[in-house]
Amino acid sequence: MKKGHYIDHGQNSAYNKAKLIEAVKTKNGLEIEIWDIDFQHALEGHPEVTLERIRVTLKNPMKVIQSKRSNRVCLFYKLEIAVHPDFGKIYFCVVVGVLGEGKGKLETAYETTVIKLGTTLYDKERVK
Amino acid sequence: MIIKYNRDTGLMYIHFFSGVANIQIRTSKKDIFKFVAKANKDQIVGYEIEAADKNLDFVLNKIGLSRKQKLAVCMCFIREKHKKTQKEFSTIINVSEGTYKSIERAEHNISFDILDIIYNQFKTEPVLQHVFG
Repeated sequence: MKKGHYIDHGQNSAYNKAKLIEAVKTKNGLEIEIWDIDFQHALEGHPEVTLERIRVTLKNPMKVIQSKRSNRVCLFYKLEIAVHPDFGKIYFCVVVGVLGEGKGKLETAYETTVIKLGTTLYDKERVK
Repeated sequence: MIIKYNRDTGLMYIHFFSGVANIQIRTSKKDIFKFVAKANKDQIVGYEIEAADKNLDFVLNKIGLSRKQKLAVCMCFIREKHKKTQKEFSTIINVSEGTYKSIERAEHNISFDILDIIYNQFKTEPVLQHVFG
């Protein structure tokens, strides 16, 4: 893991001990930083989250949505289960906070039944 | 309880349990989503709140938080609003950093002295009315 400056609220923050796990480059060139404190938070709340699932979803999403509620939030979705007996479709969602200048950082990740409303930035089906 | 709030994205996450596999589903309120246990849909593991500043009243009044949990949410919200660290807030209310962290996790039994300090330091913060009101 690399040490570095943890960016929060678009500024270098006082989380001096934060470590950069890795930076993942998405198809559209956005660089998403994964910091240990954010990954740890995702893991605490969602034990099903793994670094590999985050990496795969960021690199090869099914859909990318810019949140209707905040233009600083992008949601990367990947379909995980097409028909679950209790929940129907299950997606893996990576929540990214946009920092600007082509950079973003992992906020959290989880499994969801919901694709949120917002501007579609990428849709694999439409690209085909 | 685990709380994470980022003022710039407006997202707040509240988790009552850790280590429980869960999945997000909708609620009747459009900005609020809940995480339910995969093994038992009726067990609420946590919430995701969009535009948390606008929905804080709902969070503090409608999802059944205890007073200690409400204080944890309020402190996290106020701290992030002021872009301060947990260490800085621990100094403001005159407790150790560890104690402050446990307040934001709703794990700490808070003495009346600390409650007094919190009330006096942040009495201009309207959200605290949900705790002290």
